[in-house]
Amino acid sequence: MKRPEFFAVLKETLEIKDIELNEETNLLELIDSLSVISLMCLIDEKFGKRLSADELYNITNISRLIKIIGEEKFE
Amino acid sequence: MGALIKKIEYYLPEKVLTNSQLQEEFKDCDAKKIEDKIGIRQRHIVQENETALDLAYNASEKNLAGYDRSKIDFLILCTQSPDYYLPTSSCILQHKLNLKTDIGAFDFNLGCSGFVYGLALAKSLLNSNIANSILLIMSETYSKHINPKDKANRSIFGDAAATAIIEKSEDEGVFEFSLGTDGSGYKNLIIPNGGLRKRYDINARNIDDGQGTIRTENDLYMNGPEMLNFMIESVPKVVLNVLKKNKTTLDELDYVIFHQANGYIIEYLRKKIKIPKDKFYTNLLYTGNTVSASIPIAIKDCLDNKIIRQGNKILIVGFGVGYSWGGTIIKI
Repeated sequence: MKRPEFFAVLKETLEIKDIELNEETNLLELIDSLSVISLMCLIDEKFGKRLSADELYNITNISRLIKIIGEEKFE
Repeated sequence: MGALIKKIEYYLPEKVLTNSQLQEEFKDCDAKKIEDKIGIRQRHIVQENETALDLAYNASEKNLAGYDRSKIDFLILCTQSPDYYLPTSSCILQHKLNLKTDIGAFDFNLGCSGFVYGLALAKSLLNSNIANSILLIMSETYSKHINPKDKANRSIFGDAAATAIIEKSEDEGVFEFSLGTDGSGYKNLIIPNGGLRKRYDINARNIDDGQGTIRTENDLYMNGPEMLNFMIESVPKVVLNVLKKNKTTLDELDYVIFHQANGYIIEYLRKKIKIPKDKFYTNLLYTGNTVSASIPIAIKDCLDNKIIRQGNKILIVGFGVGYSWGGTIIKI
């Protein structure tokens, strides 16, 4: 998946409005605990990756999330 | 000889906690979003002086109405909210329900997998000629374990009791089981204090998770992300194992009922396992997640609403605290 597509999927799944996402966006500041479930299911569905609670709460920005998933999956 | 579920009834406490009430209490709580996201609009919760034993009694009386209670020769109660450390609640219940005294009775402590385990126990007791007619009860009051300032868990869990009468039968109505346990996840859904490892601490400090949840170690704690990972890992496998053990396929089954954990999560699991939408039940709207009672409540609602009918074969799967999980196929 290309990065722009990933940003679009994140926006749609997490119902983020009025903000354009980029690699520096702090995702956890934009979503509540209900949307955390959606984020985890999305990452499992699209990349087969299960985010541990530690990984999840250390996602400082989307770049960090991409690193956790594996940068090769975004080439 | 087989085991057959003859009757199911459930009881919900009268008091209701709505999303709107939660929204009034918590300024960052969005009533509509809770319903849209996890499919819960309200949940029933017990009063201060009401316990799981009371719910179990009320549900049992409903189920025993029109049934010859002298036939009951075993009582099994699944609860994680007992009135006392000892005696076991099922003994008190035997007396309150006016059941005969030459019967077996015990409690077992499981959460969301409890109904499946209860059926496994019941089937074993029937097949080994220890019992002929079993009253299986799942009764839970997680609201008593949740900190009043824990918005997340108060949104999810509701209190309830459900009972099933399971009889020895010529026909088989409870088929092969797949059960699972992985205690490595015990800390992810736990009440840390109050047992004998760590006593209830009257001075326990508040723990703020920064997302609107405040609790102490005396209260129920759920690590939502890790519980979700456990479900994603275990549920597809147990579905596969149950199908394999019963030499059947999803196509050959009439319906699938999972523990009603959270509307979003079970819908995700449905899609992941590729269970057709028209064969799958999701309804937490008026009850929330009622732990071990959720599967029998769903079965009863499906029967009442003619979503399933007598003779249907249904895959049921329970999963949660422990970690503990299990599945089987039943014929209603």
